[in-house]
Amino acid sequence: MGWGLVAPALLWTAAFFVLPFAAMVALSFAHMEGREVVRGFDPGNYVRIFTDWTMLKALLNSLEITVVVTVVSVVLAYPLAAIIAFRVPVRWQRLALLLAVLPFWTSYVVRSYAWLLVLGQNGVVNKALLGLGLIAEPLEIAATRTATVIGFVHFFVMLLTLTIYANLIQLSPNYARAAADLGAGRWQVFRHVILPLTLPGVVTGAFLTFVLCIGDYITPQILGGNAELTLPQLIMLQLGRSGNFPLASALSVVLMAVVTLAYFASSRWLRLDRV
Amino acid sequence: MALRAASKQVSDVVSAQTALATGEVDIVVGGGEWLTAVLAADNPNLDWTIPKQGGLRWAQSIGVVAGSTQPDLALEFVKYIVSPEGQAKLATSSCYWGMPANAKTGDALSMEQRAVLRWQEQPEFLKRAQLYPIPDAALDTAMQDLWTEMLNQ
Repeated sequence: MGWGLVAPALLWTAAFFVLPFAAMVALSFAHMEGREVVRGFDPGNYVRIFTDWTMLKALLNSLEITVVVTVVSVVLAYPLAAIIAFRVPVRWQRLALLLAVLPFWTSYVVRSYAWLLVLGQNGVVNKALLGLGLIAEPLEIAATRTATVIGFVHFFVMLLTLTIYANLIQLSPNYARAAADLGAGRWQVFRHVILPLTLPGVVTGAFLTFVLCIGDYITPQILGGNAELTLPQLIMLQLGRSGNFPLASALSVVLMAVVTLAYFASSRWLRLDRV
Repeated sequence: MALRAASKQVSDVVSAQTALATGEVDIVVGGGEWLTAVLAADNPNLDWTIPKQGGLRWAQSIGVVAGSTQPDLALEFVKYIVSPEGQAKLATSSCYWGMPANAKTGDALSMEQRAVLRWQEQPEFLKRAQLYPIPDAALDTAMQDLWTEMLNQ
């Protein structure tokens, strides 16, 4: 009976994850001869990824962007979630959450192009800053890494607000009361009671942010101006322009490995059942 | 590589047009009428040319596939598309302008459209432009690697 219930999920995972992943790993050890894929066991693609500076730099770019996005998103989302959970009256909390995730409703691509216009030389950000006299020259934000980070943060603050909020409202107010009763100040209550108890929500959201961010192709492609390449962009170049499926597969396996490492690094606090 | 270092961004069609439309960039190297002409109504100062040093010419083909269920209808459509009227429609659509291949299209275009497309200069442009080369696998790989390196320098 138990196996019968699990079977659909198992079959789904086997058919759409395990088998394709095995095929991708096998393909990553093939190599190109002219325009032909030659199967075999050739670690050359992996050697190239870790010795060719262009490839290595794409991996480093992706890691840098992802770490910055994850940290900034957590720092912005935590207070937002806390305000919604503790300061907004319960009957308005649903509406507040709805407003917080409203940008989710628009298409990802449309949102990215919108950011391109907002951050442009004549966009509202530069117009406002120039109008206020805060800057003399328009800032060059569009088509840079900063634009990519802003686009990502906008998206992931929504995600993190939800996971952190879900964690915060599960906390009994008695913990904070007990700590305050024992003489803890507001900062001490947060530092020693609230934060450790909400760490699972934070780490779960941060892990999801990391995974989705490092694998994303759209945002850096639209907002980054091709000023540099991220790993997914490099994979797309190998697929779309070069037709080098073995190298693209090897790059994808490396991407998977990075995500797996992130999983192990955060697994101690990870509570995927709370999402 | 030096050109890349001096450039604001490397873009696909949509991003390049967005950058031109918003004033983010003033010049696109490697563009053409297919990039600027559709924006001419909004920005009359936007123009394009093929420099004396030459340029690449992109070509599109149309045909009827073997086994078509409606070969006669398809042939009529092909005839229409390559006709001066069809070419003029295609060349000046609201989303995308592209140079007509039919030399008789000029009569089907308005004076403004001809001016935007620099129709009178076509013979000169054709002399300076060459068709897109088809590289062998080795040259193709070398060029793709160079392109990737250029983007991620």
